[in-house]
Amino acid sequence: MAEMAAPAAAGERKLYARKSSGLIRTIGVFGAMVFGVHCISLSSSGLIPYSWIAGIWPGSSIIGVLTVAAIFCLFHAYTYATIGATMPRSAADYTLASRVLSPPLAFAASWTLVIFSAMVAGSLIAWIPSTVVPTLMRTMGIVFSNPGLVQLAGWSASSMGIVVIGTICTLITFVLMILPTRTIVRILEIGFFLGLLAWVILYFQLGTAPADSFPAAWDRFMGAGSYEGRIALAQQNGMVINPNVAVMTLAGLIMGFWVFYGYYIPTFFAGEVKQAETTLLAGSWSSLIVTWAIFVLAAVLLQRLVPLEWIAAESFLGQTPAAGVTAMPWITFYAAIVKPSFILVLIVAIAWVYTLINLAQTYFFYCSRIIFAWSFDRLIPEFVSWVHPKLHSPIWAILIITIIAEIGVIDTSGLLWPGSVMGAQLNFVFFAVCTMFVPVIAMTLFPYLKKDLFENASAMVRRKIGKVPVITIVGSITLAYMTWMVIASFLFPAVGGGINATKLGVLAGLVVTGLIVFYVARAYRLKNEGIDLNWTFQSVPPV
Amino acid sequence: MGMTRLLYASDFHGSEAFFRKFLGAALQYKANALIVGGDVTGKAMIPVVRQAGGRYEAFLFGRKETPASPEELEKLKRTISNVGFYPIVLEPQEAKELEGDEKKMGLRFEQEMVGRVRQWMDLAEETLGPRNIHTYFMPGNDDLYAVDAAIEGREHVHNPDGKRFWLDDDHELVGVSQANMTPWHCARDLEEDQLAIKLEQAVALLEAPERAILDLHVPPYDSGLDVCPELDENLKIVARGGQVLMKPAGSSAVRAVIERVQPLLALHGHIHESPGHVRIGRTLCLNAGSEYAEGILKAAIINLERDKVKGHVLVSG
Repeated sequence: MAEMAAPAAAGERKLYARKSSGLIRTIGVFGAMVFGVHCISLSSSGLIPYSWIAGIWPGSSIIGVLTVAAIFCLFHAYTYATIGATMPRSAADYTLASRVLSPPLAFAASWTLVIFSAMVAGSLIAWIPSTVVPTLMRTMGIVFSNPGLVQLAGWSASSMGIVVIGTICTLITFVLMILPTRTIVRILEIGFFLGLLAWVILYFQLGTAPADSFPAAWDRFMGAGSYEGRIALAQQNGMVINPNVAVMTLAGLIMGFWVFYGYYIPTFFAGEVKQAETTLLAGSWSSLIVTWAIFVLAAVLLQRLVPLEWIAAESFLGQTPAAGVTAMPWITFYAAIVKPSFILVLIVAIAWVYTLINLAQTYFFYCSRIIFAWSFDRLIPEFVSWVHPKLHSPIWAILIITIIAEIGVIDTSGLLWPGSVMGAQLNFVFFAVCTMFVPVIAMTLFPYLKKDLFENASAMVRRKIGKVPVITIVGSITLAYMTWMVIASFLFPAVGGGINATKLGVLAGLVVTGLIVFYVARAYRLKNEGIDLNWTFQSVPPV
Repeated sequence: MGMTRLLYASDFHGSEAFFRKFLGAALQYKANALIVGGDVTGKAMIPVVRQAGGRYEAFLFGRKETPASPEELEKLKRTISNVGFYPIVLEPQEAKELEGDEKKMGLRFEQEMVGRVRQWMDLAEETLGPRNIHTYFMPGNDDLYAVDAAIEGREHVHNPDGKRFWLDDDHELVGVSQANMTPWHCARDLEEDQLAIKLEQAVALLEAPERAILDLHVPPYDSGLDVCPELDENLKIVARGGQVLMKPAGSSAVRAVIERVQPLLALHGHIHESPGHVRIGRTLCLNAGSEYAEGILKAAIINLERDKVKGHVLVSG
């Protein structure tokens, strides 16, 4: 006889469950949110609004840009959460798109995403020696009068410095990622709180400084009269202040992915998330909202001390080498000069580097999960997904990603070839969005192309407004948003470094090699094993 | 001999959609034999209670459903069945009586579980029997022993739990439905030493173990096919830094018997989150995984030649 759980309470007859039902309590929103925050990155994304957005869109409200950006990202987050809820397994996007639209196209998009993401991980690692270390070294060198640190900053940002420090950081990331999962999550957990601590320190520094203290503090460290002359200098070099709401909205529409990209990453390992339909959405939305709040609060506190136009000018000068000045458009520097404290600056420096390594770790992590999905579908050799018996880590998969990341480091450094061939970091949004079209189209059309799966999907996936599935509406908005980001990549070279024939060629090359891998794998399995890999993606009609 | 194609799936947990697709897949992929790895019964009944005015009321995944016509009622019952639950249509008084009597509710549940398995076996016989395709349908640790009787009595449907069958001229199949102890103390959970005895009894039946297929519901310990979320003492998932902590939950006794016997193929289920394949020595171990609640078929197609697994792939649809 089946042993039953306590009957439902009167008036609420929902379910009579077996005691040995295996039903367990789910992970809370907090846990799901933490990974999303790591993927967004409190460090790299935390600099973008004040050091970059302000200068590209002078006069636009930083808070307004962040808010518009976050709103549209909410639609994208909903779409990807639904993808994960529909196919709660590794590489949910590839899995869905291959089953709904086209297996070779879905694989080619996934292949491109993984290689591109590994390159981006490398360019983000390269950001440590090219930007983060120099910024922090210059800050400490200026604030604490240590010319040696300023010199070190210069070397760090050189091509050789980027390769040396970047390679060390890449190896550190590799080692961290082959450790047992418990150790990895402990490292990420420490990073989450360290990142928050860094922002609390920044809030403390900015929030407790007297409202009129910034100009004098700036002049003290950057030279007498430096503060007053910044706006004029920027205007002489082409800055035009334009506090226009339409421009602000445009900026937000373009900058969303630059700032908040990463909130949806848990979809790539949806198979490990319990009750994916609620956890993924709550996790992505909450990580978006939390980081939005952190960056907005910082903007409020910063603008208490410094007018928006001045922030824009310093950011503009930071992107205009021809101006011939040492620009320091970093919120960490602003905070350090109004409240100089060696220990606080050191903690922020450590937190920044630590969380950037965490960011690279998350990229390595989700890339390895996607590679696993390919291995399940037998599209790549089995050895790639081999798991070390003691470390329980997919060593080969992580090594492949590490090698690609190292190529990303070298590409960013410009040491072996001029410039950045792939432009992984600068053209980040363009490449990222291009890889998303296939799964997002698949999700938008899912209710119509796979009616049986749609009818059996979770309530979240099946939601409708009238007769129209919500996911079709939200997916359409997401597609429009993504299309605009591709167009914007061409229209606004300042945001993304320009799309040229080489970069388009790289994108096309990745897609084509993905298609080749798919068809070669299929032919091999058919000939040698009698297995048609297309079976993996076919619907099966019930009898 | 030529090639034998097997179709394997497990952990249906009562999902009508999953099982019907499983039979459909046998025809689509031209399987020679079907093997089921256990956990075939559902986890809950959904009361569909008659209301005033000819309507009914039920809750499915937190959403209130109120079918108002016989067609809508049938559609709801099918939806409930497709996700693995058992719809029971009740008058309000019946529901009240059932809720007040745990023993009566348990008996009703058993009745529903056994009834659905019986219907499935009839469907398998009717669909595949004329094509001489045999189905080896084994329960798992989550299934009551009462289910076993529902599998018996058909020409092309067999229960390999504790028994040996020849799939073809070269390959034998034995099965063990039990699992090592779980936090829920399921119907067929055993301590590892007791499970080891069951396993030894099963493999002792084999004439050619090097070419045999073992249908063992629980996967081998620490094989990668047995990784699931770690639970604390309150059965809550343990998470750190945004990550669910995973741990192996398979059986060391199963691992030991595979390492010792080295059959051709070992088929497993039990851990829905760990589909995949791994080799333990020369043995290919497979877990097809399960997404029964979404009505998605997850299965493995395996091509066998006399002395080797020629190829395999995991499918879902």
